[in-house]
Amino acid sequence: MNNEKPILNVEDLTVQFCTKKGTAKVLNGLSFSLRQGEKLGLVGESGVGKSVAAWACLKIIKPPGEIVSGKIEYKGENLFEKSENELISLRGNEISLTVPRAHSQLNPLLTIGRQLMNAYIAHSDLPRREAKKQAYEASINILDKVGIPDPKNRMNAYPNELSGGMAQRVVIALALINKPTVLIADDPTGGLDVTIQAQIIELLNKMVEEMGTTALIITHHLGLVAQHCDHVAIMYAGQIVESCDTETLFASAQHPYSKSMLSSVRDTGDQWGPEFILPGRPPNPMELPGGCYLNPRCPHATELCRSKEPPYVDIGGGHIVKCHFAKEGGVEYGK
Amino acid sequence: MASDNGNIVLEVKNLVKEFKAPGSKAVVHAINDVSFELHRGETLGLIGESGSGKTTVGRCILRLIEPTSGSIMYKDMDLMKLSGKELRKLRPDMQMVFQDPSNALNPKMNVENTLLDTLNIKAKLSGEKLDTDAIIKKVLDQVAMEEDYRLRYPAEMSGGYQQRVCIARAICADPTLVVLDEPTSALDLPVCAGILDLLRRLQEELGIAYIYISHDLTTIKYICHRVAVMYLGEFVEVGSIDQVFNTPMHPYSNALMSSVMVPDPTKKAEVVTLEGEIPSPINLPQGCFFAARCPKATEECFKNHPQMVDMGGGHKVRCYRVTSE
Repeated sequence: MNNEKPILNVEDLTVQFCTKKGTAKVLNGLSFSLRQGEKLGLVGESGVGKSVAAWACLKIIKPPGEIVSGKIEYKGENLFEKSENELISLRGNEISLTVPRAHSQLNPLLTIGRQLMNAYIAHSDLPRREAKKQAYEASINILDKVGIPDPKNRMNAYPNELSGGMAQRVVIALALINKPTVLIADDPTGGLDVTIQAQIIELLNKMVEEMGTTALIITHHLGLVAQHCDHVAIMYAGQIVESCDTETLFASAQHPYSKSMLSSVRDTGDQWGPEFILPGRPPNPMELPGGCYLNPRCPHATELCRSKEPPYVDIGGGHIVKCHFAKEGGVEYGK
Repeated sequence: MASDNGNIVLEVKNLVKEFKAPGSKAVVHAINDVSFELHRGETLGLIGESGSGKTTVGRCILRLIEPTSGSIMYKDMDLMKLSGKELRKLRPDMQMVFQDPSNALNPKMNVENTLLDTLNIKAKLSGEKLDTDAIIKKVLDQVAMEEDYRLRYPAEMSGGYQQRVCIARAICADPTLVVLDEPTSALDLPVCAGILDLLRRLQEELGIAYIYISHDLTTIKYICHRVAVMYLGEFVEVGSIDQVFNTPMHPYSNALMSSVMVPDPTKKAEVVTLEGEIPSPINLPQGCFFAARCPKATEECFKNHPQMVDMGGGHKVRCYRVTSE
């Protein structure tokens, strides 16, 4: 489809958390790629490893978690081969992350102005005094851009003086102050009211357009994906099970799990009726089933599904489905 | 009046609730003059942003918190005038399902004991003998839980099943009214869908009236018959789902409806974004509460407070710009 080189390419990423109770296999060969200027929605239920994928993109997974295998290429260079210093200059500067539940993630002891300026100064080569000066200007500028009224005075506000929507804006401002190439927005609308959600998404859209930023939006809000993402990747048990452009997914999703997700939104009309809903819950990452991870819940599962991991199949037009029954043109279930 | 129409389960008139702000003499006006009626087997949805007073309305109706003034007619009785003892007799009839199921269940009681607790109280209050074992069996079947869940404790169940227990607890006393306070907000998408279907089916089977409180418009649209839009402690628009979702009149409902992100990429919505946030309920604005954020506000809106006006077909709206046209 698009032969342009991806700006961020995640390949076969495996992340495990070794705990006392056993090894939790959170990401199991996750692969996806982000092209310049696109918005990719990463969708899945809670506990499928969406946030861990975001952390891995910045290599900020802390023990007991470890990246077992795989690679992440940013502009053609493998992030995992870079030194910690190189990574530090990358984080928050070229690849930034906005965290969910903004309120609890801001430092409660520092004014938001100080937090913004710190983020700017950390990536500035100028002598400290000048950097500070510029940081002040840049902070006011970005606060104004994210729609915070009276930015000059708000610089002195502490996070507890902000409402949820405002705190989320500050988190977005923090992520964008250094004009990153890639923005990873982890659940940007979680816990916000609908009107505020609309404001935040409009803001993200505007920023992505103005700065030419590429965005990875992690969410379980399918409405947001439908309205604002170019591509979608559906995640299950640490893998992408289906990825395609947004229109294709909503019109003709193929993977049983994607269908189940779509049918759980009671506003998608008759096409995705309740009959597609799968019973059960995502597997415990410590006790993953053999073969296809969905097989205990899938009504079409056969002996093959229980014994062998399904391949990724391109069914046409870059629509990729991870299922044994996927072939050119769609998914056909056998007996 | 309620007595004229046997179909009306609940009639709330001019409900007001004020809280004292902690540490100062200021008064928080949580609910300002809310009136509505609820019919048998009907679901009324309450929507609005956080801080608009949805939950407070739900709790005041059951007198879980004491309203400041107003009347709540349940069948023929004014709940506001009942003593604690009389009210307790009515409790089995009016149930509530809370937001977070893991906090709403007693962690030391298994499913059977949780339900027994409710049933024993009901039996004691009404003086009749209940076949508790059969009722528990029936209720678990109604909420689609297997028999072996009976002896499980809340910690041994997923969020979806915990919420089912909460619903089972609410319906086992055979209520006529259930207040559902964001019953799906703590749940994952597919689980949430299952709970919604369950609630719908129970209503069809048992004819329960629901008050469904949520800020998730998609679920409201799916489960409710009528909906009331709340803003700063008052209703700004009331009507059927069709009226409010398809032809919203109040500028606030309009903005609210347009900000719903429809899960259909072919329907790109024209979003009316609102500036700012909900004002403080301590210093209520003088005129229309919404005027400061309203794109259509005129001088009149800042001076006088609009009243609820019926625009026909039970579609009521509180806005000068709509009613004067």
